[in-house]
Amino acid sequence: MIMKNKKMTSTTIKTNSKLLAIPVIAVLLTVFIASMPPDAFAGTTCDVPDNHCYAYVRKTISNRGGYGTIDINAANSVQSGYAIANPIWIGFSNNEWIEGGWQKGNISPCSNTTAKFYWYETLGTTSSACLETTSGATMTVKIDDSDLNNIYAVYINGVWKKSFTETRDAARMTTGGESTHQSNVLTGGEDSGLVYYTTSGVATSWGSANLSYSSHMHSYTDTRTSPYNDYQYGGP
Amino acid sequence: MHKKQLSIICGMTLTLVLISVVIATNQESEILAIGLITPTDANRPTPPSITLGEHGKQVATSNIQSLDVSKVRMAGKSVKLDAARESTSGTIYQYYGTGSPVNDNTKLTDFMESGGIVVETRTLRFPEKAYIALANHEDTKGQGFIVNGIMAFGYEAHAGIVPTTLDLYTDDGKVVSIWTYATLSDTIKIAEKLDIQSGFIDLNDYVDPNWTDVSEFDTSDEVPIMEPES
Repeated sequence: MIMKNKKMTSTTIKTNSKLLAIPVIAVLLTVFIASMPPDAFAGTTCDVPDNHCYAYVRKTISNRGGYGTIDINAANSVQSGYAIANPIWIGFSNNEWIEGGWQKGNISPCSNTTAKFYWYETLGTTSSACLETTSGATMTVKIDDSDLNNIYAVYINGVWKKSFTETRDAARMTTGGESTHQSNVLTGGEDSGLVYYTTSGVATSWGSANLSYSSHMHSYTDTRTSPYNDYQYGGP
Repeated sequence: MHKKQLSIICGMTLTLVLISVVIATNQESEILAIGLITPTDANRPTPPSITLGEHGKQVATSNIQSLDVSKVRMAGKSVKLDAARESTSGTIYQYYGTGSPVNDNTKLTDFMESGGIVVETRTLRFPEKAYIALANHEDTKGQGFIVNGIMAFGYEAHAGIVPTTLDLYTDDGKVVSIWTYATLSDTIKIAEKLDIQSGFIDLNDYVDPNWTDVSEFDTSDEVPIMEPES
């Protein structure tokens, strides 16, 4: 009887050890995945009729805005026609957003074929401005209320452009390499030094995003389960 | 039966029928029938619609104090509290739907198009700072109005995906925000039916004559950057 109990105890310990390994592996996997930088992929043709495509990375988290540096000379090309490149969007829970970036094409607020900085916002009603052209390899876009005074401000290359009242936290931050329209190739882009501000106003690193990889963008939908952050939607 | 008795019975019956009709008509007139509108296009690409999953984790509706929507009809359909969510910062979202199923992947635009009403209740982190910003910044200064004695801001659905939003600033430091794909005037009528109680916050008390909308210089390179918690 004693022998049997000892044997059972030994077996139980072995089983428990194996079971203990499961949560340890799960924790290690979680840490590994969480430490990976955001990735998105591009390199395919926008193939849905009348649709518009984006290659972007998105951070869904309560925040007070953020910023990033966008490599203009990488694949973040600004296409002619109906396209926007290199935006940073700060999105809110009711679908409002503030946007700053680099665009050309016949899109409000810019309306010519020269790529320019712009900002655009939908808080209350829409307002926008087409700003100056730029030179250089990179630009930084910052849209934030890190001092928690309920006013989000837009900076492009460190220069204040506009501010807006918004008492709610943002729900997500999105940064894009490129957008394009039907039959054009979405070539992607590179964003670095991405930072978001927590709801306490603390600057928190989000890593970098390389949207230049090819061959990963295939049939995709905007779902939580997709590993890719590319997005294609039926829009104007 | 005498003719007199018969006429009394007929008269009483007729009176009861008339009273019933009047009561029924009054009850019907209390019903608020709301038609849906489509947000005006932004005439430019928009970011993807937020999903309900991005609002936060689902919480049991039994733990949420539901508002009375029994007298509201959206596009001819009655609405009921279908689901509720809570964000990491404690904001509560209530989804009053017309019967379409909702889950993590439901786009807010789809929920609104089905006639849904969202009620977002959030707590202001620093209420006075919020009132100062609302009272002084150019895009909100003088734009407030009063709904059932509550200080409110509102605007109609626009930009292709943004619903009509009515923000009610209650005197407990919270904001009850009602979203619909209806006109602003109809959304105000919905708010009046919901019986939200609050005193009035007078933004005139927060006007700053020295206010400026221009922010200070960008300080992004001067702040320490934390690594996210894993």
